[in-house]
Amino acid sequence: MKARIFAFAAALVLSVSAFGADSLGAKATADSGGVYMAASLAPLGSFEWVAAPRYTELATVRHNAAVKLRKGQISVEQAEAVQARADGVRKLLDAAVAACAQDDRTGQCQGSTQKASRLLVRASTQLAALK
Amino acid sequence: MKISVVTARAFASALNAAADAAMAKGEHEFDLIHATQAVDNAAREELEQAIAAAKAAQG
Repeated sequence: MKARIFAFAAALVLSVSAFGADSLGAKATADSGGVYMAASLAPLGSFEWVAAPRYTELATVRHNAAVKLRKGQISVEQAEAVQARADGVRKLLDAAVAACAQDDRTGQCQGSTQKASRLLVRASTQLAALK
Repeated sequence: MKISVVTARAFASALNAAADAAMAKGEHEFDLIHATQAVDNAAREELEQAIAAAKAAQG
């Protein structure tokens, strides 16, 4: 049991070292080399960290469509349809982020709200169908 | 939460670019959502231009 706890603790220490101080909400200052904690930084696992990759996922869908269009693998009409549907997903994502920021007590969207989560699920569903 | 390799790379690239831009301005933090929104804005523009070019090629 002790060995398991020790292994877990060691793994925890290693993972913290691997991710670095930034992932824990700390930032190293370039001039002093020191570390300070900033409460305004989005903590890992917060709504923003869940929503942010969806934007890059959406960008990937658009980029892939542009590449396929240039290669002649899809038609102009198909590319326009991707763009229109991607715009719809983008509106949902923006609405989710806005809802979270509006409802969150801190005003920084650090916790997931019901409306924001619902919008994000809709955006993710439409995004998955788009791919 | 699962994330595709392509999305992970695009996301990591977006964060790196935003971090570099922030550091160049002497700032130590940046807005995560704004940074990734900017990536989608750029991709939207890329697709828009590809569509325009394809239409022009069609005459």
